[in-house]
Amino acid sequence: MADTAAITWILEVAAASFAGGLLGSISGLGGGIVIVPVLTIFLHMPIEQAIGASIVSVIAVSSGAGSVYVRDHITNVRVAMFLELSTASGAILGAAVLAKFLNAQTLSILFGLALLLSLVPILLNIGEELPKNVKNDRLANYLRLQGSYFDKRLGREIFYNAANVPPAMGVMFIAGIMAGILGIGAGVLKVLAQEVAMHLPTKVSTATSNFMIGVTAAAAAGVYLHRGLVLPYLVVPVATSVVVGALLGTKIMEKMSNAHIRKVFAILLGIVGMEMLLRGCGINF
Amino acid sequence: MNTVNASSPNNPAPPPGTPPHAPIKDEFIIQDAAAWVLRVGVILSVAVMILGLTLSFIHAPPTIKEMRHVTFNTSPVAMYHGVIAGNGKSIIDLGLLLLVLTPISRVAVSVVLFAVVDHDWFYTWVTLAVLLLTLISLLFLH
Repeated sequence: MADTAAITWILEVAAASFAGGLLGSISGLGGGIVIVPVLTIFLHMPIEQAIGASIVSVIAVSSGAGSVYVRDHITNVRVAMFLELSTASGAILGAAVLAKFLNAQTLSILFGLALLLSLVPILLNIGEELPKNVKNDRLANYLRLQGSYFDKRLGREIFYNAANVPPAMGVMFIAGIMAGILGIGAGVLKVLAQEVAMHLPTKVSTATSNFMIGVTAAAAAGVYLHRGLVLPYLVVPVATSVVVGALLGTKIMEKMSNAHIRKVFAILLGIVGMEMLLRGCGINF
Repeated sequence: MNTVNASSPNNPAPPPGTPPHAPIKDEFIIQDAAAWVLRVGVILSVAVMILGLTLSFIHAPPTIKEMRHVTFNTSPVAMYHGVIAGNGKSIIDLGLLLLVLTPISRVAVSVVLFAVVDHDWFYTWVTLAVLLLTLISLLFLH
């Protein structure tokens, strides 16, 4: 007979993962934002194993929510592929070269501060529904990064352009380095690069980030699988309920206004920023 | 009778801001195929994982201590033999592997579609580079 503690544990993990999938698919950040704190604080798991579970959850959220966002043509595939090139090179540089020279704690502190600072431009535009007067820059023209999507809330097709591509590439490169060294945190920078630098509509940023985080997480998964930091019995309830949460999240996200999604993102940005700052000071939660 | 009106129902004028060269139809094929790959990958991997967990609990229910300590087995040979033998834990490992391969397959399919459907060589190379960098990270960075 299976022991009840085991069943209870699976159900607790499943509940946290459902919430992670829901928030992760609405914000474009993946599920780790809920799963890592719950696993470490309430279920007393080591931070490395919690991040291992979080990486799997990010892949599951990205693929589950991605199947809806891509089908509904909210994801901008060109933006995703072009920016992912920066992230993927940054991740390899980070994991293979810089990890030996950079102190993970210092990096966490810097990352936390950078995230809290980036709250400022988000808060300045917090009520804005769609970015106005955005013109493609030269690179965006060449790369054909402009696009359109049907906004279910506004009931019409939204056409948009992409500005400031080079700074966005820089942010994505840093996002890759962070993902390569810390194993976490790239999702926030992905949304920021598209939202604040490129001035894409919030739903497009969210859906496109949602796609890219799955690719970055799949690349990072190798390290965690090899070091024995991914627990298969933990992963089943995580992946299963995170997908259910993510699919529900896509239904909610498509009907939300861009301004509301940005508020959800701002709150999560503040939480992740504080979390990274505390982790850098040696307080894991 | 034979006047072609630019804004006829069959040929509506594009709204202002529409890129003149937007390959709408090809773009849709690429996106729909990608959505399909993601959906099949997620459903398949989660179903395999649940099957593995169910088998584990039927054959030899793991204790909470085991569940918190048993790790992913990276040996493909061990996974193969475990799956053939109906070992629940090996089947979970297989599901996990399928899940990790899902976003990567989606990138791989995009490479082919950018080349074959869109003939967009610039993005074919960009996507191919993303695919290679991702595989290098997955396989060689430990």
